[in-house]
Amino acid sequence: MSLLREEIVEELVKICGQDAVVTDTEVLQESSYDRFRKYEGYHKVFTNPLPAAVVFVKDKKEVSEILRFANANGINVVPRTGHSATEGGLETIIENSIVLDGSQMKKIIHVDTYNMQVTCECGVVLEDLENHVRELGLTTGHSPQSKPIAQMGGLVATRSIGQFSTLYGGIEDMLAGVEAVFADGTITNIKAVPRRAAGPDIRHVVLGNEGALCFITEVTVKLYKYFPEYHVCMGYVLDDMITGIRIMHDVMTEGYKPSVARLYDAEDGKEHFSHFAPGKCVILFVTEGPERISKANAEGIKEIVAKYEECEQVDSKLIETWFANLNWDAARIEEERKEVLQTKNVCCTTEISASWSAVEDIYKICKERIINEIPDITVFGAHASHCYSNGINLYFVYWYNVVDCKPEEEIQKYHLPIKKIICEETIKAGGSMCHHHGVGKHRVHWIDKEHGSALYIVKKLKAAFDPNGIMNAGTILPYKK
Amino acid sequence: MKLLVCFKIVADLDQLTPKDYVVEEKINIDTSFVKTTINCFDESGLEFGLRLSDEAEGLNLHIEKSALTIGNSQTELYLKSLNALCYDHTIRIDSGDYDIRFKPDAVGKAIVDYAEKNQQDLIIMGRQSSEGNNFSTPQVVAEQLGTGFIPNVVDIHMMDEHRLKITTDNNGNIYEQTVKTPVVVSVGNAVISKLRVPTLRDRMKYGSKEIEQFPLRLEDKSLAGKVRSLEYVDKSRSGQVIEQKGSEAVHVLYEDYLKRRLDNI
Amino acid sequence: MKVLLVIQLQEASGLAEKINQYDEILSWFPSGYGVDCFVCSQADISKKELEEAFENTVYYFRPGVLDIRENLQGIAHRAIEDGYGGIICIEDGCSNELAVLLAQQLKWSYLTNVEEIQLEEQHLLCSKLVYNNNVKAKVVLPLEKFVISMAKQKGNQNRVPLRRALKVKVEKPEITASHIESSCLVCEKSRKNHSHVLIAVGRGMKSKADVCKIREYALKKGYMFGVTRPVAMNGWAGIDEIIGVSGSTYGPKICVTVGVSGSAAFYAGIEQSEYIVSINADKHAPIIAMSDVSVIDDYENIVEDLWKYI
Repeated sequence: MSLLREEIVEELVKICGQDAVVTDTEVLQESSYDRFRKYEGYHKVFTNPLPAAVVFVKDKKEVSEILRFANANGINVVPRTGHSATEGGLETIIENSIVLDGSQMKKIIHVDTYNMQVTCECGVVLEDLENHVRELGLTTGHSPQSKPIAQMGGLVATRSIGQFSTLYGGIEDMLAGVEAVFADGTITNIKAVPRRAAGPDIRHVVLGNEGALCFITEVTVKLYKYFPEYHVCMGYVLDDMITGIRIMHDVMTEGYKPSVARLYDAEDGKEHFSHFAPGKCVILFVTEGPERISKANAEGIKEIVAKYEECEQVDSKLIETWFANLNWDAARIEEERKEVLQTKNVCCTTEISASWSAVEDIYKICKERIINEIPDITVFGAHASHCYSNGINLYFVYWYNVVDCKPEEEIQKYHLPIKKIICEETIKAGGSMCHHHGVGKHRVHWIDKEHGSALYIVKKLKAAFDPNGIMNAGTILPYKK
Repeated sequence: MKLLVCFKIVADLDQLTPKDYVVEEKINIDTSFVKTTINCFDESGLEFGLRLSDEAEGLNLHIEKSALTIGNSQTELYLKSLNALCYDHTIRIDSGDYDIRFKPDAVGKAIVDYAEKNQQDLIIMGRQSSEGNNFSTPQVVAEQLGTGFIPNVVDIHMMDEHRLKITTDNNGNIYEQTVKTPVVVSVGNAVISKLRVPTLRDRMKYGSKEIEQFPLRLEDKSLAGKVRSLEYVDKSRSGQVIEQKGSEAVHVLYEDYLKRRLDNI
Repeated sequence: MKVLLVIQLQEASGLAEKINQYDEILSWFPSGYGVDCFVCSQADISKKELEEAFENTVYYFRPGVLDIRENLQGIAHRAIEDGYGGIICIEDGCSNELAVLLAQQLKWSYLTNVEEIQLEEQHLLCSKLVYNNNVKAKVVLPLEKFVISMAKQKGNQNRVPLRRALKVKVEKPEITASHIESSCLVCEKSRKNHSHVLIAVGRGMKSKADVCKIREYALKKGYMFGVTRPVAMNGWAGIDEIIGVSGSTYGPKICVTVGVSGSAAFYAGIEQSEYIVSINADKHAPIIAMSDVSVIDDYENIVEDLWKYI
């Protein structure tokens, strides 16, 4: 028989103390969803069941005790740090869940400037960590748009990626070691080593688990020397997105390594570059690192772009200024809230990845279908922001007016149908429906098609590490009562 | 009823850093490398225009609404968007190379020229904009047209063909007034601040609709003060740190930094 | 040369603040200038109060309807009839609007939001803030036939005692508004608890109890109190106590931040403070550079002693 809310709260207070356990209604409401349901949330409509409590843990021991308690009593636990998730991963879909919040675990434990790595607790804000190591002339190389608010635990849990990934890689390339607590309370510490072949790479059980397998308490990430004085910024205006994709292909396959390689189509670009490229695509590159490497990469890229006559170079100051204002902080989210409430115009995104040969068709088909099939679209565009030798991502950005529709109906009328088209077309073309935001709770509908026969591995992991199904139910795999 | 909303496209000054404030020749500060946006008070005005039109429809009345801006070709993108939002007329007065930042008389005169040729019952514009902070154009227009003028408007509703219900902020006190047209209103911190968004289909449908061009008549005589110089104001604080810790730090903080200030309160 | 200072009042209690601003402006003009006042007041002010507030001549006008043109006509008429060379409008909700309308009607030069006026030999040199208050503009106006509206001034706090106006003349309204049919007050200005000191706490606080203690202290002293958003989301404070873009903004004389890191979203709520003091254990916290003075120490070592002083 399941415990009552009061009984859950009582036990949490015993483990963590009164101050750490929050049961205020407003906080519980805000903790029942994430940015996927922002339209509802901005309207103060809360469709998910309220959690029993939000508990702010101080250390791994508390995490272990709470998980053991939850596991023994079949209580759903939603791990959380920065609260910046976008795919529903933080939704509390079961009544009386526990939101296990690690944001108070915010110590930077050790910066090792010789071995080039830093260890910190899960609640350290990425921007704080980055500012800290920048004082030492170093960088984590990780810069997602959520940098001012996202925290290290969540960034590892979602397999996040940042703006400089083409040089530094995604979080999977940066993570050296990690400590996590599993559903039965077992605390595991995967040590930080340069590389090893001691069985499968178990970091990847933790990386990207989205709280469905464990709670991350501590991370060790690599550090790199930071050379801001050798950054080279290049921006070009061109007419055609497909040409832009081909330029990116050439840059990557020729072996150049910019830190930033981004391509915007005219629609998505409208929101960013209309002051110098109205109705045009924009492609931009940044190279960095030691002087000779940065310059050599920049020269190589310029040579490749020069072969495409339609590309017109723009003043790098335009790109630098744009870049400096790209990230999202709490102020920007508040501005969005006000704008959405007044205009009923919402912006959502779906990011995918595909091989070079598939991505052009995916772009064209998704654009055509969504413009024709979905009502009230105000903007539909895309940018490519992460490049690999064997392919690229596409970040679809779409805005729509919410017309004749209650807040709680918005995702059914607009967001999910759009996502369906993008995910299905991408999977059909052999790509992945989730490049870096995670599956959350709203791409689970296509997880079987996403993994195909390999779904077996994902299911077995879940069965092994969370046999009672208490870890973030409904995330990655659909929830079955 | 004929309604004219005047708006200005401005650089998003929040994107500038202190080192970007370089005063060049002719007291110019280059802001060409940052995004542009509709001046926030004017944006309220544009949305009021659409809302009044919706209200008029409900009263079986018709509003012929126009949106006018003075600026360069960068403003065309915004005018196209207003076409897609079904403004009946979108007008651009090309400022060319003429520096209108501190010239509310010239701007006002241009609007008056247009309004004299195209009689309006209601003219709406924002109180001020970020660059020049002139706070003058609506008054110039009202005085030169000889119409009524309502300052610092926060809300407007249709009553009938010739009357509006206008809410105005008078130093924190909110008044509701019944106002007869013709009238010029200047918009302050209004109840609505964001302009609705046209659909992609409407943008495609109305994309090629004409943007009217209207000439700018330059006049030498201006009553506005003449700007002699511009200088960046460094607003950063001293960031002073007291060396001591604990009680000693508190003592230093009070004696050296706070005492005088607290005594003056 | 005579200058006419225009003062608009909504309530009698606002007179003291206007007097401070009047004193400051007076100090800019040498004794050769005659500075008179035109007081437009919606509230009743006694002759005695006006005599003690201002020097020289005071014109006192009670407008009938809330219509800016009613004030305008009276002032313009007085300016021409009595040969004033310049008009200065002290800051008020619509002083900029009034000044420009006056200038347009009189065909005089004008400038709004002026911070300071310097009398030079050939002209007035005025300064005002432009570009979102990031740039100071120096603007030239002629020595005669000008209308200026002032930005909000701190005012001269050191009142010159024993002032006595020579003449107080009551002005009658000249026109009735033709385009305003009716006007009614629907909401009066709110009188929030206002203190010159604000105490703000942030996510550096270690417990709800600590937040409560500081709140209690602030309320006891009649200070304003607020928190950063994370503190409210922790359940340690109410949502209505949030300072910043998603909450309230303040402009106290002194703001003390305790355990606040200094995000832009929060700072927008206190940036108008005259003086910012920060207590933070982290010397790299952004708030340190954005404060006037800071103590780098755990707040537990500081606050108990600090409350003995402030």
